[in-house]
Amino acid sequence: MSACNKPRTVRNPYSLTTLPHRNLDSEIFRTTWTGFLPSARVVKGLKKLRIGAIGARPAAFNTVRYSEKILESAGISVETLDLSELWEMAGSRTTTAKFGAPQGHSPSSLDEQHSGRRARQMAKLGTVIDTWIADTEVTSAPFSAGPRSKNISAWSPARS
Amino acid sequence: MSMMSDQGLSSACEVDVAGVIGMHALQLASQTPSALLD
Repeated sequence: MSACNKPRTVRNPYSLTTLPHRNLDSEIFRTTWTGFLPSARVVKGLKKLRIGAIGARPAAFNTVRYSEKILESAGISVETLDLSELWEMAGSRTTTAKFGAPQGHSPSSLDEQHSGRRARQMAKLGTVIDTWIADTEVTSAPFSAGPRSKNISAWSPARS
Repeated sequence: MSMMSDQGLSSACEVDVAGVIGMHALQLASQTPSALLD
């Protein structure tokens, strides 16, 4: 424990291993190392995380409120995109590069709801969102997929 | 959103930022797409 207290005094994060001493090619070292890697990926991945928030929080969803200040103090930033701006960009798009992608992704969606005009609308929206994600370099994107977006577009991102 | 999950981009409904951070953490840990069931 004294060895562990040393890094603690200099504020270095550390973790305890199953055994204090073992060979690098031993099975127990492999198990310990494999168990440590997911934690390391999470800690590294959440630092400087950029989140894309598409649309506004629906009024009734008070439980998903968040503080950008608290997130920023943890190194997490939030990029916002207004829903009307998103639809405007999608409306001006002529490309349907992602057309057919939803069907290919989910064979069960091969029905009339996803055909024709709506499928093209989804394809345009997908292209715009992909472009925005690439431009802002966000790693995740919570959508406003409540009744408001359904009314505007007659389509909800949650159904893709 | 499921297409984005396959690309390693976590996404959640109702602008659930805290939820998507949890999803991203789970995805990093498991190296597979995560889901949010609420």
